[in-house]
Amino acid sequence: MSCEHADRPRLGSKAAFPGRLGFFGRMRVVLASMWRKASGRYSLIVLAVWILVSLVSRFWTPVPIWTTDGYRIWRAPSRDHLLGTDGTGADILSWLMAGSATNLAISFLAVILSGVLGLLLVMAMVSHRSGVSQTVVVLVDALISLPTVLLALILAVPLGPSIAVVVVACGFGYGLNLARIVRPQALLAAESDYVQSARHSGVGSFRIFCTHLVPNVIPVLCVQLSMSAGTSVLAEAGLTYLGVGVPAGLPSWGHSLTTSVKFINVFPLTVLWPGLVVTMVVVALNLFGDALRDAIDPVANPRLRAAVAAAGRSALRSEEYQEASAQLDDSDHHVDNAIHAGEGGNDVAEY
Amino acid sequence: MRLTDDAPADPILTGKGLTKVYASTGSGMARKAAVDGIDVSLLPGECLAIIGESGSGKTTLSRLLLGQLRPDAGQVAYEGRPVLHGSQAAKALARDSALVFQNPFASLDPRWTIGRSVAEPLLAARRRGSGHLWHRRQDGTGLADQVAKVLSAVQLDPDRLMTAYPSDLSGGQAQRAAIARALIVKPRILLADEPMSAVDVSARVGILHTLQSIMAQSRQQADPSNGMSMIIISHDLGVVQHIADRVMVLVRGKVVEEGPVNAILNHPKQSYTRQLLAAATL
Ligand SMILES: Nc1ncnc2c1ncn2[C@@H]1O[C@H](COP(=O)(O)OP(=O)(O)O)[C@@H](O)[C@H]1O
Ligand SMILES: [Mg+2]
Repeated sequence: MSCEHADRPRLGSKAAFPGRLGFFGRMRVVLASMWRKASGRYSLIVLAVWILVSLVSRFWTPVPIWTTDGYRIWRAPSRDHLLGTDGTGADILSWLMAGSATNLAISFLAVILSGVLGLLLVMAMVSHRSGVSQTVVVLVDALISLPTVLLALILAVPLGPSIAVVVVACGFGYGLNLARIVRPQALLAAESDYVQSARHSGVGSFRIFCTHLVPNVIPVLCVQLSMSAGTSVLAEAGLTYLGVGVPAGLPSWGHSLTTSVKFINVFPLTVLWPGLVVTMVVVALNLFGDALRDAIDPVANPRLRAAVAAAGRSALRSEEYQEASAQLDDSDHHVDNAIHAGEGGNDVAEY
Repeated sequence: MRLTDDAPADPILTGKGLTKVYASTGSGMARKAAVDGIDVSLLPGECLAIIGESGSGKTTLSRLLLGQLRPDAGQVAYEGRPVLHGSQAAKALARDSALVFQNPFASLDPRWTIGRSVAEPLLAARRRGSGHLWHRRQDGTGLADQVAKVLSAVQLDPDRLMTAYPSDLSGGQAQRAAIARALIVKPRILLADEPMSAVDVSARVGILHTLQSIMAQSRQQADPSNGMSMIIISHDLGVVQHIADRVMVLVRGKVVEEGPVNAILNHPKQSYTRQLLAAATL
């Protein structure tokens, strides 16, 4: 063989397999790729501010949220109250800050729930047992017609208005949606030649699902889950307005909207602020999904592919490989030529 | 021709009266067998070519032979043991055989690096060997070395391609990576289903070359009767004449001609085979 690597130095035992960029290395490349686009930058900034404000609001708000002043209600923005005060004289900015933590928790939990539920359903839908898969497909189609609001109203009967109602109603509804949207992609992967090869090699169904199917539906997953996060913010506002969402004592953006929306004709500013926050966050979440899809998918992001290749090369070149790199460079040219000869015209004469 | 008369080896894989009828072929038409009562045998170290036009049942036959499809009639035997669904022989056959598909980009996970794809069967074999179903940290001992070795054997540069993704490869390179993936577990039977049809003409020669060198290497082993056998499927007789020992011509699910490659090439008995020869591209 013209390109034998017989004298390759050996990788240390149990060495990480080259081409496995660590989680943090991968995240750095993904975030950098997202940052390069204006939409990605906007979404990252808004989400970072959201998370930061949620954390800060646990310890500090400009005015303690339970401080009310009966003589200063419906005030316009001022130095003391940057966004003004609401009908009880409470500071609107402080309530919005405190509410961001509630909404963050709701979105996060709804995304987790819908992601887990959706993937479990997809796992059943691509099952080889046609009895299982067909039953689940029909079940999802039937349940998906149940409106989220109706589900929340039903749940509120035993639970009363609570975060759990919003999370479960959203997570359930979006999980079903997710399963329906992801299924064709997952089926495509499940019937692909690479899955057939893996199965022939004796790789188990669960491992195939986790290592082949899930990575190949991640683009759809990114978009759907971030949209679910955005929709859950809107749903929280709607359900709280209906009285089955976040309970009265708990700050949330829906709560801020609900308490002031009745007076929108008189004091439009008090509705404008929470409305603005909700809109900005929902837009950011939708943009985040698109940006994440483009950045996290190695097929779509050449920078990620390049980073993986570089990490692999440096793993190969590290330690024991160091002194041999010059020699490897030599053989690189050698192999290049061999590949070229193999694919190009030289050998054609043989046949 | 390496199949010497002095050592008539037992076939490694045999099929007797293999028949497969798909459930839903055509509307209202009488159901026709995709594979209709075919007898095959594959000797150790032999390269058998299955030739026939599209839809003649080549893929179906090969899947039956590797135990991936259940025959409606007939039986496959691996090393003399009948291959029944879930039997030990079926497991052994799956373990000892590997597949190369027509479209290399469909047979490599687009979101896996080449190195990871190539290593997958080896890791699966190791897991099987160790009896653990799920290793969080898989034993990577010498993995990169083995992947590099097998990539070199198919004339790919391991340092550059191990961490590349399929989308960075040409069709010819991707197909060779797929061959490397099949070879890494040192299969006793390699099934290549139209491995050259989906890549451009200039890359076909390279792939043929690779397959030839693999066969040549396995034949140079100490015990040639233990060498790798290959089933190569093609609709093009010209492609396989350089590599096959024996050729089997399929027409509509039936074998119309079978024999050593030279005999078939020089004295085709069937007019159909003559047409195939005339249409040869390489
Ligand atoms: N999964 C399937 N379901 C129904 N019919 C099939 C299926 N696979 C193949 N066939 C039919 O069986 C016949 C043989 O197909 P195949 O073995 O793929 O032929 P080849 O590989 O020679 O092109 C064709 O007529 C094809 O339409
Ligand atoms: Mg076919």
